[in-house]
Amino acid sequence: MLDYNSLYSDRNKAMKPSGIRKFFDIVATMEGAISLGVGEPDFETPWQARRSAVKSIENGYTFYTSNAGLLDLRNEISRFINDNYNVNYNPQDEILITVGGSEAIDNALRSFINEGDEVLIPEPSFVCYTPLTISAGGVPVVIQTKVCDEFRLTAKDLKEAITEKTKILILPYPSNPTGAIMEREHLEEIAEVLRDTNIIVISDEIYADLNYYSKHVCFSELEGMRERTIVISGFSKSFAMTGWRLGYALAPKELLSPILKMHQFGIMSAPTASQFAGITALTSCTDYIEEMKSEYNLRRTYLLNQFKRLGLPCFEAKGAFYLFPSIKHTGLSSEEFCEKLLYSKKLAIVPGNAFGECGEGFVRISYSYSFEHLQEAIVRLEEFLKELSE
Amino acid sequence: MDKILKLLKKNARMSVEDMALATSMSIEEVTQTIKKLEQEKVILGYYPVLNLNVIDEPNVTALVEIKFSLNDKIGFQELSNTIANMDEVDSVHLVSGGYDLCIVMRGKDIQEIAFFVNEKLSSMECVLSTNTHFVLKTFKEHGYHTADRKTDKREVML
Repeated sequence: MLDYNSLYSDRNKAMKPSGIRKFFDIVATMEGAISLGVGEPDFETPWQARRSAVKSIENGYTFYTSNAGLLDLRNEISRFINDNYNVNYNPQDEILITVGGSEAIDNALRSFINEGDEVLIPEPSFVCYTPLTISAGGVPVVIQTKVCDEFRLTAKDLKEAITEKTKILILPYPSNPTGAIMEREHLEEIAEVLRDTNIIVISDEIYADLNYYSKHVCFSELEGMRERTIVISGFSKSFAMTGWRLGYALAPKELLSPILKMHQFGIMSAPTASQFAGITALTSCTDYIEEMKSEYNLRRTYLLNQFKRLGLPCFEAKGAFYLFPSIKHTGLSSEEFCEKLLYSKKLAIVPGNAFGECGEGFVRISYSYSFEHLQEAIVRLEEFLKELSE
Repeated sequence: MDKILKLLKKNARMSVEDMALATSMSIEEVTQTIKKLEQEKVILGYYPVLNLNVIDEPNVTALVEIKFSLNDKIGFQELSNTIANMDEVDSVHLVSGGYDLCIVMRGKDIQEIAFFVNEKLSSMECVLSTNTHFVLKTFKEHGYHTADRKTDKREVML
């Protein structure tokens, strides 16, 4: 019998498995359980985009595309970014189509990290940054963001975290799991700290189109930031295309070419049918974004008002499709709260500490669900909170 | 008003309390908004979306195209109103193209609809011709699929 454990790489072993996987296996088999846990849109991909993928297959586009992706798609992305933000990317050598935003993050990290380089990761944040940094040989340095700052990264905390070894800053806004956004003035403070450094920024803007409060500001719009920023985005959240695995990286060619090299050898090209769907999404389906956004916003308002009524403290998250209420007053840990809620009311939500230690005392609630579903969930949550306080 | 309409279009049975929470309006404001929509005839009524494939009573739906021969005494408006006043008729649309009016009507069987078309419609002086299409099966009604469809297909939790 092989000693498998001795075969796993040290880096792989250093990547902690997701602690809540087990928890959600229980949900899947529990009769009558409902969830507010999912982190992807509940909408289906717009029909026209789906149709164009089918047509591309029927017409025989069953080959690899160029490594960087279909030029038509890069042209459309360039136009879309230019229409929405005050920044330009050349489709020839500044845009790379990837297998979801995640591939772009992974390859970006691996393209720049040398053993021991530090990567600054504001938390609570999406679960991939720390393990992918470790896998690339980097050292994750967590910056704990706070509810009193509405979970924004502050210039002060950033300054304190920077050392001589700092190579990369991850900027994950709008945020999964908190729903926090960074407005221009907040980003400007961050840019000010970075201006005289060599720090690269990986700005994960996958939720850019889901900002209910103001117009999203692309980090590379800010003076002096374009030259050091890799903007990550994609189709998953804006066009409800998670299963298509279609994302992209935007960066000046000096930053993009090493990522393209990784992508070329490791991936070849993003799925061709998905790329055709992406072109149609950008040319014919942008109205869909506004439609989804207004629906999400009604749900967001509904839940925020319900939490107020239930006495569940929650800062007003203005982006993505998550709320991040505090459960500290119950005296339970995040995991205890979620476990008890699941077993007693069959309602699954995600403990905040799944997104970093500083998420302890909070829970993530996704409103990527129909109103009927949310209404039922609130009934269960209300009963649970009432029983806890008795 | 747009937000209330949006919510009602998704679920006309949503409570005013929940609509108030979803829009940050007061219950009174929501009630007034709905009243106004009703008074202004933006909302004509509320109706369950029935699956006629499975409903436990005999029913037949037909789409009838009608072509008129107009004269100087009578126009589309009046003719359309006359037909809309007939109880058997569900909806009436003046349309562009090869014919003038498209109506949807429901009856308990083919004979009932045939009687209506033969006796009531074709006897009208201005009706030049009719073309009746009987519905064989309904796949989607007012945005709802009639067949069972897995609504939440998501598998990943995080």
